[in-house]
Amino acid sequence: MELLVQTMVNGIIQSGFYALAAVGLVLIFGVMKVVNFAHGELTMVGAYSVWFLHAQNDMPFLLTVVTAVVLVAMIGLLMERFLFRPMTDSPLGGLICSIGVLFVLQVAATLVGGEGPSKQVPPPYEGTLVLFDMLRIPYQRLFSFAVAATTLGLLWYFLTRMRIGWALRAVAQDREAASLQGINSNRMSMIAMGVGAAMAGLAGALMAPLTNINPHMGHNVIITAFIVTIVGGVGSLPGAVIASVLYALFHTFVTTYFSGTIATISGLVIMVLILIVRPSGILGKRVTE
Amino acid sequence: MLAKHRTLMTIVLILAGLLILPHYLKYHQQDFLIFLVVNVLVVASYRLVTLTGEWSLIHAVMMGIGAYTSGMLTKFLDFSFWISLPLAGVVAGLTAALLSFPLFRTTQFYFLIGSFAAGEAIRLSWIHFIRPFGGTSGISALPSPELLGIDFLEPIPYFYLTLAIVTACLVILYRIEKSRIGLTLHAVHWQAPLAESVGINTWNYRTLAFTTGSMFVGIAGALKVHYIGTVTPNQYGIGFMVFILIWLIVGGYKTFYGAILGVIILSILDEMFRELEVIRPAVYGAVLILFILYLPDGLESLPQKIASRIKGASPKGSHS
Amino acid sequence: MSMLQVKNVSKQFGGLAALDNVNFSVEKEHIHGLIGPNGAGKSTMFKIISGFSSPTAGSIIFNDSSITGLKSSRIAEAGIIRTFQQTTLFHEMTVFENVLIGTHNSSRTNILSALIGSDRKRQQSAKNHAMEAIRFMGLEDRMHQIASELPLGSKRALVIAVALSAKPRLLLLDEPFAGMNPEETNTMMALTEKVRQSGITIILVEHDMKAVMGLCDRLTVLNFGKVLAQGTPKEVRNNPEVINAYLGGGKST
Ligand SMILES: Nc1ncnc2c1ncn2[C@@H]1O[C@H](COP(=O)(O)OP(=O)(O)O)[C@@H](O)[C@H]1O
Ligand SMILES: [Mg+2]
Repeated sequence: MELLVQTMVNGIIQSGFYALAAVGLVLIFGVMKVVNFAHGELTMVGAYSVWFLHAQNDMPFLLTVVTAVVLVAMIGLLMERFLFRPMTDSPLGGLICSIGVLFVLQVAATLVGGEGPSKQVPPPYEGTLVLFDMLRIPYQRLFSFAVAATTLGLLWYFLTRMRIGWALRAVAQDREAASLQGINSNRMSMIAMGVGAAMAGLAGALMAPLTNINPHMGHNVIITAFIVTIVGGVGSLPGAVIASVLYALFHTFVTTYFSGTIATISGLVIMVLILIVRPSGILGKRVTE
Repeated sequence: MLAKHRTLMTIVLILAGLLILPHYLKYHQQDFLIFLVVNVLVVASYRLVTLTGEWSLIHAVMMGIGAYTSGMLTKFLDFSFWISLPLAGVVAGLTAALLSFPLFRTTQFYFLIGSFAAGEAIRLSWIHFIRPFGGTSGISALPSPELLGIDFLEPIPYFYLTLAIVTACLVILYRIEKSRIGLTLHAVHWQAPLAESVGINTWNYRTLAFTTGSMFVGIAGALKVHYIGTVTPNQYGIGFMVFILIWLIVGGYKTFYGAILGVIILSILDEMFRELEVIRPAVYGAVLILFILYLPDGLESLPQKIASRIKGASPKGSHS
Repeated sequence: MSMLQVKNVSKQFGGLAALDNVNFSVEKEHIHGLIGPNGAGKSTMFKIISGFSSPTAGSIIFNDSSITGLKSSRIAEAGIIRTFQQTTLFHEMTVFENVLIGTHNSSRTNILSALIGSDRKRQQSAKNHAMEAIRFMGLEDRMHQIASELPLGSKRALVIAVALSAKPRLLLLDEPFAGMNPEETNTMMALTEKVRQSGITIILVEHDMKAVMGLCDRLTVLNFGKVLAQGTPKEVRNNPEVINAYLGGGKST
């Protein structure tokens, strides 16, 4: 019973990271129709920034988180401007460019951090919240989850309540029609990429004190983000958030009771099954024609 | 007709050159040559998959399936290489055929991601199920082929063996592409609804290309594994998949020989720049980006491009 | 018995009824016009007949057997070939290759026979058949041109040549005259008539009233997904409802 509740709480906290990474991927795909394969590496850069600035150079943690977000957003903007925009007519071209970026960022991380074992960042918030004598939540995790949840809330507000968010969704729905209405779709792409990358960077920065940091950590992130995106329905942001929670719970449970690899394998299998029975995901609209 | 003869002559000359070449190479260069020939089959078979316009991300894993199949059959069940080699192709092909059911319910983005997911699931299974796949360290000490008392353990005989099999496979792949079936695959790529409207079952043809391409890369996997004697899950991960993509794109995916050109030129450059080590992947990444941005039809299109520059003629709108 | 019967066909898109209980039938070797204002549901009807979309309700009977819900490639095999409203071609390929692909039903092959060349006879007869379709549509001078480089009139002729090479028994033409000048329209009308003379039944969706009235044996008028009127061109032209809803409403493009 204790283990059950504890696993559940762990899963929910984990879902914050998943959602941050997946929502960015969905946003980028929705507006630009590009699969950003380097999304996991953007997360990795976020984590590396925290390791380098905070753990190596003693910059205050919160400041490094902000710096990481800004840095990764900048990388995203550069990718949009110089890679994805020239490739607007060729979605595959964008994808291939992002694979190129993936390798460049991995090597950059290796050059900054050197080869050798994974890095660790000592958690700046120590201590553990104990609830009902049995639930244990380290403050660091609580903090990360709170920031992730707040960010997602702000994104939701931005997309649904602000004019610019509305324009973003219009472009996602139909780029041409949006252009006819006078929406600058290039600008919307920049915003989508900037916001999407910033969220990936944030996920990485928040993850940094809780995980092993190495140049290849993005691989698991992108697998998770793909699973969540397909399960939630490509193009559906609420779908991605809900799928993040479900998948995080699922993954945490299977990891706790079986093993992490089994958890990922079954996640991938579920994703393929979803492609069979409902290609549009749990919340995506059914594609008619 | 004349052009055809000239092409044939070129091919004969290249083959003749390849036959004597290994005798003038150092040991590690002979290794390199064998891997190069295997990789030619890898890209050529991948090109068949992409003919319908669906770029899969599972080709590397399909090669792994061939490698594991042949490795396990020969090591655990004492199969002869000559039987396990075709079986490697069959098992990879069957896997592709089965996966077609979920994967080709979708196309484009979904297919790409779906194929990636399916591939990762298979690869993680090799890691997780230590029996029989051997986990992260895989399976090693695999037997080398033998025929009529010749042991194909040494590089030179193994090279001839590989060259013969790969050449045969390339001839088949080429004939498929130039046949009616190749034309139909192009039709499915360029205008699937129109193809459907004249009776082409696009699902069947996507599956056909995917299955056949996977079969041939399965054979390539078996060829590779019996030379190095080891198979591990990480040899066939997304990293290798990216190499396949780079070869195809840099060479030029629009023609049969463009893809082959890509793997040859990049492998030779790769061999020359070995000392780059850590930053090698970044160089590859940058090359990939530069090509897709500035030479999307690959090296193969370069002569034409230069020619039209010199003539000052307006460049022909070559892609949609 | 009619060649094609459309029985109580409806199609819903969300809340919108693109087709609402539509009934009509097409006689053998007729040119049957399907007309109506934009958004009336004509293209949707074509999609349903040709299997590109399945009806929410109702059935399609072709030569006495139901083809409702069959895959589009199966329906094409049965002899119903559609064209598309936009000029849909294999734009990157030559005229000849386009038409050759059209012969799929009579020339398909498997990998083995393609490899050993045992299907050579079949492929040769497909090529001959493709040549016939090209000559029939008067495209022989453009055989080796790339489809995207053809003038509009030839593109449209090629669209029909591709369809013809698939040996249709029933041909569905979606706005084949759209955007053509009067001269091109006249040529195309003559070709359409020639196709019918060769024994092929045609359903024609077209806004050009001169062409419709000149070619069609019977008309079905759709409006907001419902059948507004049916009959000979003359009957339809004089039907007050049609005049009100459609013909009278100014010139259509
Ligand atoms: N795939 C679709 N999804 C939603 N609505 C559609 C779809 N296809 C057609 N429609 C709607 O159905 C109606 C009929 O369209 P269509 O058959 O193209 O008309 P027509 O060809 O007579 O101009 C229109 O209102 C159109 O907007
Ligand atoms: Mg229409």
